[in-house]
Amino acid sequence: MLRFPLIRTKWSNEHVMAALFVVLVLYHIPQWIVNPVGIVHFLLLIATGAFLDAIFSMIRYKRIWCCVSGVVTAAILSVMTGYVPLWGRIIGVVVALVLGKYIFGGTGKNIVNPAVTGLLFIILVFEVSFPIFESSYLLIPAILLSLPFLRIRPYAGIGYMLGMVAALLINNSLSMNHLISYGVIFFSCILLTDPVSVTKHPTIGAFLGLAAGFAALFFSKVPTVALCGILAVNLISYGVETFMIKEKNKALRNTLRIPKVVVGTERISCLDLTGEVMNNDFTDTKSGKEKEKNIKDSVCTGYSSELILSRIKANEVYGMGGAAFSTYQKIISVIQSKTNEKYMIINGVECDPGLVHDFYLLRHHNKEIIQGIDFILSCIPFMTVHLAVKDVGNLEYPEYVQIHKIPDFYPAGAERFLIQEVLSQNIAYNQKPAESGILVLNAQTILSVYEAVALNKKIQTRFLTVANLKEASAKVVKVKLGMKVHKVIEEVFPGSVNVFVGGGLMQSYLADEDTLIGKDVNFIATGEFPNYKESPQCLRCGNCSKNCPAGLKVDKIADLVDRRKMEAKNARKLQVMKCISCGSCSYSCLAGRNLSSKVVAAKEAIQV
Amino acid sequence: MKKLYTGFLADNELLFVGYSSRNNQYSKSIYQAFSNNGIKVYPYNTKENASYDIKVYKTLEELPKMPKAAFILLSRENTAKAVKQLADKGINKILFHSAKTADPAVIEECEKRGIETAIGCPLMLYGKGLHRFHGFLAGVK
Repeated sequence: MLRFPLIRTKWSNEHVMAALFVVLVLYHIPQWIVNPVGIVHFLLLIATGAFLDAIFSMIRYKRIWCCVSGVVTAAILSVMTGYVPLWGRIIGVVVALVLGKYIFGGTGKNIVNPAVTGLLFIILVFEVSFPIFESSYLLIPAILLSLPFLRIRPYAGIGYMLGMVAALLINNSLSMNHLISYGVIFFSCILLTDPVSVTKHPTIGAFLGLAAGFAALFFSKVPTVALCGILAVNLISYGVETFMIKEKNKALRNTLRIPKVVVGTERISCLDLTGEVMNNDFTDTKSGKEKEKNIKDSVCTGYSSELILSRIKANEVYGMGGAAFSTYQKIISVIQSKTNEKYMIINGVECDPGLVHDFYLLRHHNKEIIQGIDFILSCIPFMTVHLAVKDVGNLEYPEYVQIHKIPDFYPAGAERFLIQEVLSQNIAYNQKPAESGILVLNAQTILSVYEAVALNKKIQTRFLTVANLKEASAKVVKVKLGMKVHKVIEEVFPGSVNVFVGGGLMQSYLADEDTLIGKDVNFIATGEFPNYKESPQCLRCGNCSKNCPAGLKVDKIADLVDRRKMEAKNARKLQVMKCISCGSCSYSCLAGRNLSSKVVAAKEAIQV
Repeated sequence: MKKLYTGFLADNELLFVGYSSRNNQYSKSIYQAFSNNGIKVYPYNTKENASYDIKVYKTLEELPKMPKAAFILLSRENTAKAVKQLADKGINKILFHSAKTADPAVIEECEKRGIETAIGCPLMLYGKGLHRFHGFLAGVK
């Protein structure tokens, strides 16, 4: 089944382009005050851009995709060519879109910046010289609103800005007037930050930007040098992006923040659909230390490590975090690990924005979880035991369990990131943490260890989160494995039409009437389909790669999959096996593409 | 023939005849637009050896329940065949995607069999943004 995150970023290419267009309109205001006819010219130019974009979109994709990028190209040309006759500017727009964009295959596939192509054509035919802008306070709003666009390519943009400033300084002409009239902010924040023009690589981008910015104002004061500089940066960047494939195998500290989409008020109770009597009679009547002593005396006495391991194996305890890997195998790997320093991490991070049940279990079944920890401690002498959570409030655990507050980023709960956060150790993607003596278990898995050992109970039930995404509410529900997903949702949220199921909100799939709750199911939800419009217009913003915790070149992988050129050799070269299926790429794609499904297709290419 | 209107699919369930065997985005959008508006959809395509992103029924016998309404997204030739088959199964409302696929003979056949018909892209009523604007211009309300 096709998996996808049930939420997406609220931003899209069209939003970014529309914001850019508004800023470009603001750049025109001083011109329009002097010459109001310019407004008509501007409207004609953007109509030309939109019309051409629509025509080419129909030819190439058999449907009209949003034409705002053609409009932005026309607006950039309009800003810089105010004194050129209208017919010349219209030809410039045609050249920009035909030669700069569609001849290469359309949005995101072009190797040169269309606006720069069109501008160079106009400059070759007509005389255009610096300064581009009249120094006016009316430009201040446009300049200020240009600055956020630096975020798209910050290193190259700042490099370009510094290069221009340095050139003005050396030429003894650095002043506020010149900064405005030479368009330092316009070039660095609007023209150069086009993702097509500049590589994502920070060092190369900054160096190219600095060199081009300096050359633009040091050697000549005609825009031709500045534009040729950008074109050179553009072509070098294309080469860098095309031929630099190999990634360093390093765990990246991701900065993607995805807020919880369900409210936490339901995390204080649980709905039991198993028909069993809830075994949660550890009421809070005694002090923490006394309870701790009683639990240790009553539970651990009389259980040998052989008995504990045999019950974990016989009762089929498995990883409840979603991987469903055998816990017995994991513990054995840790025991057999040659390292003397062994660590245990209890994963209660719940980084998926839809899950709430680990929060509930850590607070309402903490006694059983503590017993589960003790059982494992009877088998392996760990150096330290860590409990990793995002919210440390109301947690009652003995002192030997060190509580770690994990920063709020996604996917903080992924095994390797957790180890890095808690133990500051890097584990390579092809290395198993258990073989390095690190046992990472989900909080519910430890609860299962308790049930398997103390109650000698086969693991046939589990807790999961059932969410209503429309109402932003969720409930913790205890279910039996093998129950129908639709039956569960009908009990919790009757009348639901769209039912999704999976390891979490970020990796769900559509459940049909026959879908059953399996070992990998952590989450059931009802709500609207996320709007994956699968636009072919990838702007090469690089959000997918930037937010990939495994550091994959997701855009490149998706491109090869789309062109049916993803073979095992390419897939290995691009290290697709490092993908942890977190869905960050799909969540952050501005073109609304479910990119994680492309990476899955690439993984399959290796297995074929 | 009537244009698609609110209330035509009052049963809140329908058979989607001709869900794309290539999982194309248009079919997906229609399926999702129906579902997001609380309409239970049973996608149906008789093509063998197709691989789908969602559960698609290959025969009408497989359906857990036969809905009373259907949406047809087929070529003109296949639409005529499908109408006869659906009428035999008790379908009493059919939404056609376009006038190009529902010719007068098909509409006459529906009338003869007492099937209520409407025409219009479902996105014009159940979609968002420009699709709704398109619906407004086309008189779908």
